[in-house]
Amino acid sequence: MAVYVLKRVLGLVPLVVLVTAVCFALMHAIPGGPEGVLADNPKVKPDDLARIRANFGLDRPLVVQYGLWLKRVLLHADFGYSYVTGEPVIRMIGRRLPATLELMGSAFLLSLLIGLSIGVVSALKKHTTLDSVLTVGSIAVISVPLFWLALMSMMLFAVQWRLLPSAGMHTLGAPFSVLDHLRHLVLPTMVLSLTLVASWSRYTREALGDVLTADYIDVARAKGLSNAAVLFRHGLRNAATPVITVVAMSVPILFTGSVIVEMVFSWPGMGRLFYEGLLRHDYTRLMGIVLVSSLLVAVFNLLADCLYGIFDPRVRYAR
Amino acid sequence: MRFSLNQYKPFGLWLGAAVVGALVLASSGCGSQPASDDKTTVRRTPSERNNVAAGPVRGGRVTIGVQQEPEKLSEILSATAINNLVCNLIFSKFVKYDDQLRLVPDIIETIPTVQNGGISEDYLTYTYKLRQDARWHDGKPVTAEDVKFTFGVIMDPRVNVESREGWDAVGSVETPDSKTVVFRLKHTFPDFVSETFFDESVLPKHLLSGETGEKFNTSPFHREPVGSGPFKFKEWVPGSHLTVTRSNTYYGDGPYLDEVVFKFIPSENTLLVQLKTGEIDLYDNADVSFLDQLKTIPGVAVHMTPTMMYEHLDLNMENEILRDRRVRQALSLATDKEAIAKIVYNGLVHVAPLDEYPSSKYYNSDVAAALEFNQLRARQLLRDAGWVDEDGDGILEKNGRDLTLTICTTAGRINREQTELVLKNQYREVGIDLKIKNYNSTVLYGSYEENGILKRGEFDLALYAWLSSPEPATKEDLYSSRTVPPNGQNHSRIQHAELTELLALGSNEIDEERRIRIYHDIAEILVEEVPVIPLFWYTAVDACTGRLKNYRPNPTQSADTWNANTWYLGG
Repeated sequence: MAVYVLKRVLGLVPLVVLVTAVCFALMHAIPGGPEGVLADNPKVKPDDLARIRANFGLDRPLVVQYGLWLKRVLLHADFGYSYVTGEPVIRMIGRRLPATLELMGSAFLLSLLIGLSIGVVSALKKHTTLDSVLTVGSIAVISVPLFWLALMSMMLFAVQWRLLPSAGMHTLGAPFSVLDHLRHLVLPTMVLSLTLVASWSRYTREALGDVLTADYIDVARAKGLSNAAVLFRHGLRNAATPVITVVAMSVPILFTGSVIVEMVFSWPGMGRLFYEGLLRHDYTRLMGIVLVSSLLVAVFNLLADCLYGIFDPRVRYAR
Repeated sequence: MRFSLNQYKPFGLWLGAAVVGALVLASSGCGSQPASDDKTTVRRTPSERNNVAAGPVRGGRVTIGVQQEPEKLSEILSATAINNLVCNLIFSKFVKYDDQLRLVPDIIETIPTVQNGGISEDYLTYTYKLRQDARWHDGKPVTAEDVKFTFGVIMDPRVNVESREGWDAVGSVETPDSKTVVFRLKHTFPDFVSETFFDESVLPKHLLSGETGEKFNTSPFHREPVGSGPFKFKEWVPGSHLTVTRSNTYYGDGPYLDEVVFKFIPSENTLLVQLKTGEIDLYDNADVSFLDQLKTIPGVAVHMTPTMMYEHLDLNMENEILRDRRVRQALSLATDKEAIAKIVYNGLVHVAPLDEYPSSKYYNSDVAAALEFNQLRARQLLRDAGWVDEDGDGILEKNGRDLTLTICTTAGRINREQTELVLKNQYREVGIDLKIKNYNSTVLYGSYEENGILKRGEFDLALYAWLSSPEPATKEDLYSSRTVPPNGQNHSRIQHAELTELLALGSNEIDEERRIRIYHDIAEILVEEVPVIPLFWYTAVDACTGRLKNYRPNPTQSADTWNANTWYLGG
């Protein structure tokens, strides 16, 4: 297992190189650059643009620029300075990452808890009224755009009922309190997890539904095991593999979802940092965020692969 | 000395090129209350009279909701609208425009003129006296050395200053005493007074002398600056808010508020919600489509004013059909601007007869009416130009060719696309067939090297916006024969010898009266030649709590916080 993990970790290097290279190429394929917004200013002369480009190192060939970036990252863990804010990118990300991880983490846990519970209930009560209600509800939630859900929940909870704050992480000007912070976390978490709840509950229902009709479940029942033992020891454990796959594959969805949720709820996370960087062609910032998020996604996939082994002895890895 | 630009406005109505984004900067509104000033007496509303009688009150906090976040608190490195808005509170400048477009002194005692001896007879020496009572927030006095130091930073090639236009006219800076700065120019530069430390702030030498050259670009000073303005920097939590507190060392009137907080809220909808819930007090540069909703919020005053940004049509003078002046005039006469303002913008924009701001001294009201909507005259002109409807299909022809023109704008901007449809109908009525072909903004506004549509002249008519400025010298870049792309932004490609000469004269004329006359002549030629058809001035909508007094939005780059030192909270 340890060797396997080590191999996978080493495998991250070429993956990161590939992902960032593609991203770098795509970014530079978009017309304009960090200095591009100045080009329409009649007072900015071509000389000024050339001076700024040279100061940024943007006058060099793309391959050289990418090579230098990669070298700095791999050898010195140096992400460079943002073209726009002039700050070290690593510091900008470091300041925003906790907020994003908190939001994604709470949404992840909430989705897992509610999504799996609904899935189990649906699987056990297949083709009942309750199942139908949950199915229709899930499909409705999956079909609705995230930003609309966000706005509607804000209108209801913040404006109509005045139950929760509409945006931000804390009440400005008030002393820090955990309760105040949690109140701010409720709406973004709820909205971000809704679509995941809907999709994970569907997968759990299908996976568990298949397992529950398998012969070995009948055998387990025939042995006289209690319903709970059948469900948890045999049913869920066998249904876990496909669900883990889906859950692990949802991590990128969480990242994209957090961009929208962070925009709507003014959550000071990495998604917003990325979006704002995109509008300004802030290459170093974008590369930094792409690198960090692709690493996070890769780690989650690795975690999922390890979990397969734990849940399913057939998938133990060779050394 | 920059034409300050704002870079983007996500989710907003104005998403587009940099010029368009500049609207945020031009955000303004002279508001429902007339302006008041120490020296001028103006009519006041009863409620305002009461407030004035009570006098400004100290204390309180105002939270301003803004869509964007400053990139760094340095106007030298980043001349965005939001930077102007925030830096106004922390730093000092030499001059500002007030909300009536008059130039007023900030950290200098008086505006130098030839009469008061501040400007030499040959217009090559400018002497400024800094205010005796000006201090940095750390207590040290603001001196002439600070000014000289800031000039050195701006001229340093390693510093990412966007433009040095005007500054490069300066030959030397002298500091005869600690409060006197003398600029000696290599050649005359007419806008020197209105542009020197107009959108750049004076920086503290004692805190930045170790942060020059390359280091200046990434200096931590830009994230926790020390200035000499009415408010002190307190904290900046990225993605969340930025707070400034009252400075006790400020030299001018006020400040009265204890704190001003800028809250960064990227979504327009959320800004609206926060204004409704009272979580913000001021929604600066609100989305125009929210107007009706904003008006219904209790206790909120909505301010509306023309910005300095105007929407217009560029007519490509290299086009075979448009080469004929009569056709261009006919197009102008056939354009019903009022209808566009009403149908597309709900009457929320101000029709633009000329490309000059209506209250500007350069506005030539004599020629403004010459090309007012008149279909009869338009048809007559087209007939004179040889265009007649031979086959009775409603479209005019000449030599067997239809009078067909293609219009382009930024794809996806709904208001602009609707404007095109309205124009299509209007032009159809005089026999012109208008085809529509739109481009992504990066393609439309792309550089010459990137084969940008405007820069390459690959259009007949183009619909987009320009940002005007109180001083019209920038017009040379738009209409001179010397500024046809790639050498400038003369996208219409007008090549008119007299116009080119006048534009050059105008941007070098220092005497105000002569200058006004030159630009009045220029307006006459533009109306005659029609390289562009100005359509309307965008309107800025600002909504703020009625408790905030003295909030007087400003259409210039001095921005809506230009007088924040005099803001106070009243009943």
